[in-house]
Amino acid sequence: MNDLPSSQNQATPKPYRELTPIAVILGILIGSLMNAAFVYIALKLGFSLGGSTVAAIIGFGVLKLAVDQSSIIENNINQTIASGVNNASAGVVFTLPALFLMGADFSPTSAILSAIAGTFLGIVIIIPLRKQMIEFERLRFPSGIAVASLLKSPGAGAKQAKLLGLGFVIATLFHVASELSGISDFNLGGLLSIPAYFPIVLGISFASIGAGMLAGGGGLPFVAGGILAWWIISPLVTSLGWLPSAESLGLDLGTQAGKVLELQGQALYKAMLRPLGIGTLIGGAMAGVVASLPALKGALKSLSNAAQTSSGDSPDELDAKALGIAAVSAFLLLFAAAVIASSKMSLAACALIAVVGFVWLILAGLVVAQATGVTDISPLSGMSLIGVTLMYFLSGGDSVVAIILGVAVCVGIGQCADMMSDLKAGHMIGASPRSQQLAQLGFSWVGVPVAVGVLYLLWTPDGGGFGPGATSGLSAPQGDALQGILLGLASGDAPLDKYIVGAVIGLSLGVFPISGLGVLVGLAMYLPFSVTLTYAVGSVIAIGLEKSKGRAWMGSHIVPFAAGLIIGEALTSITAVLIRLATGAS
Amino acid sequence: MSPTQNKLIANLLVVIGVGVCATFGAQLTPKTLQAVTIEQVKKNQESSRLVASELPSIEVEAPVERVKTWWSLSALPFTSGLCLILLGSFWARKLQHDELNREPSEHSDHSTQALKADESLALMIKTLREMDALLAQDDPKQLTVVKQALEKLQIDTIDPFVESREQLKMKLGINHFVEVFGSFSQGERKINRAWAACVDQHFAETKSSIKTALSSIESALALLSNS
Repeated sequence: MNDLPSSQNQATPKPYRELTPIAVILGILIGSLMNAAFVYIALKLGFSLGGSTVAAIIGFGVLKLAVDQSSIIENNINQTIASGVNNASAGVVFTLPALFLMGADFSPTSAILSAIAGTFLGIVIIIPLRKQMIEFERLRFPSGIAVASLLKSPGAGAKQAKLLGLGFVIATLFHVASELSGISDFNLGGLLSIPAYFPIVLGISFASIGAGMLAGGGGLPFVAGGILAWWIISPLVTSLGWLPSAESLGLDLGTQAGKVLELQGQALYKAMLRPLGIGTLIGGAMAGVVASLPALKGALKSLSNAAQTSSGDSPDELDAKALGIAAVSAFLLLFAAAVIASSKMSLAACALIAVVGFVWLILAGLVVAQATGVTDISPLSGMSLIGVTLMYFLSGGDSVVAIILGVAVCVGIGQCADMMSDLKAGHMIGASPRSQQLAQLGFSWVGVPVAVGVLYLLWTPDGGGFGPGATSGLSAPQGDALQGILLGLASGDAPLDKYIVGAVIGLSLGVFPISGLGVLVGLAMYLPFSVTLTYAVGSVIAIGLEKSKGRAWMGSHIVPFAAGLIIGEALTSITAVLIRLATGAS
Repeated sequence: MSPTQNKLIANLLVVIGVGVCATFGAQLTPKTLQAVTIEQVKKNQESSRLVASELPSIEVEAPVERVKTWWSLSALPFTSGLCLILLGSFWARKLQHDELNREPSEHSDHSTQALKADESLALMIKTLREMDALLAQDDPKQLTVVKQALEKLQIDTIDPFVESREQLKMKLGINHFVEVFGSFSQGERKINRAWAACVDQHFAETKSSIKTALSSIESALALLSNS
């Protein structure tokens, strides 16, 4: 049924469907289902999956069946809620299992309160940056563009639908081939006998190529950072003899040169580039805050104006007053979680740890949103790791408090990136940011009790629950890794030098007239080079095509095609994981 | 030297600076290198010549000690690299600033750009007014025409305007840019909403979104004209 013009339809036209009960219920249902499934997947495989595309596709079908006049924007609300609810699972499952594995005595209430606080804080702190990141900086958020292309597909025309379909098929075929063959990358350097300290490895990921295509020239600083880290610093550090020698590794350079290079490569990445990259990300984000201050001031002013608006029109954004109330409430929740989690700390110490957690969440959220905005890759685990480390030192070495508050940080920064990506998709289809923000703020927290509940359901302390060697096969690799890091911290092992040095580099790059340069260079150091190089292929293709075909052609051809690549790989990954879990294959 | 050559050298200084800083920043202290080595040996079964019992125990260096030792090893090259980054970055900023100040007199491009921004917004307003008039006929068949016109507007006018935002930012200054571009972006989002409403065959929403978009873009043009 169409909404007819007023002269033909004397009754008041039905309002355009946006934030409707069915969109909310559907979003919560889809999000909760994905959340439970992805907690299980993350315990088994060590990674989680985004669910925006799945939610949008299911939303199309269900909303069309349930409502005769559903809208594109209503489906966007469904997808916003579903991805928010689902996203909470990653933050919980990457951190909380460490407490189970350590056999720690902790209150589940404190974990739930902390995670819910993280959900609210993540959303609240990123909302004032919407204008800066989406409207002024025009960050790409490739997944957001992919979801928008999917939502727009009913009206985008046959040609664009075909391109989206073509991208989908190509990504699916290659991903299926990669899954079946077990080959996840193409080591060109190895084939050409180029030493491993000068890696030329391409990941078989058309989603990464798609993200690079959508970023185009904007992704070049990220690519340059990767080249600098892996093609300049890596050979230099190797030739200067700063890595473990063959002799010290107990290997013979003559006959075991390959193994020596492999171990040196691991040391280079884990002990040098990765922590240095984390530091650079932090410094870059700090510089970003300073550089964005005028625009942030403008954004806060508009939020404040929204609070004072007296017109009958609905304002564009959640107003500053609402955000302030949500932030204060979430902070109090975080404080309560710290008090419940710690039996030894004073109230003042609990307040201090909650304040530092809050401040860290702002910085880390900015890093993750900026990195996701340009590259679609989120350094969530690195930022969470620093969060847990900070909490550990502030709590005087209390692992329970460190992890409980780390849950808030991890959930919160995940929400930052998710909210911003959804707002990007929303901008492209004309959704009201306020409705999206209300939807995510109002319902994402539902994912927290679902994820914590699934963890408790799966846990049995006799070794059958999850953890290394668990009979269930759920090895909980992220939780195990976090436990290892906490044990390392307990012995005083923290690469503070690398974090500080990286932060200084990131801060100094803030002077260069390219916004977010420090974050991009840091991200390139933080990631394995195969990811960066694959992304670079997409960027270079896009730059070449833009030169020869023009920008308009890119918008009408490459955007739907690249979106198809991202959607194809996302859906195939989810299907492959579900098949593997169902068949018990490794 | 030409501005392009200067720009190239400034960028090169930054790249070299980051390379030097990161290379020396990556250097491990002797104790950390030993700890990393032992960890690698323990993980690697092929390190047969060193059995676990022969390995020294891992001596962890306290975080602050690690910073101090690293500083004593790498302070000079790291600081030199940092100076290069700052020198290159400030120079690049200055070049960008000079480019902006030089353009109105030496090149016609920038003033053309300013005109183009005016013209782009004016063109958007013209198209939106035409659509508003079309929709005033209350004929639902016009939704198809409006949808196609919105798609054309997006590709021909809105996208190039968005691409020119950096020049606009330099021309207007950040505060004024935020006002103009914020108002434009609000209009752009309403144009996108009108497109979605067309696809959903929602006449009333299409009409009201076009009206709001028109008002926002007019406001952007007025703000730009005041510069």
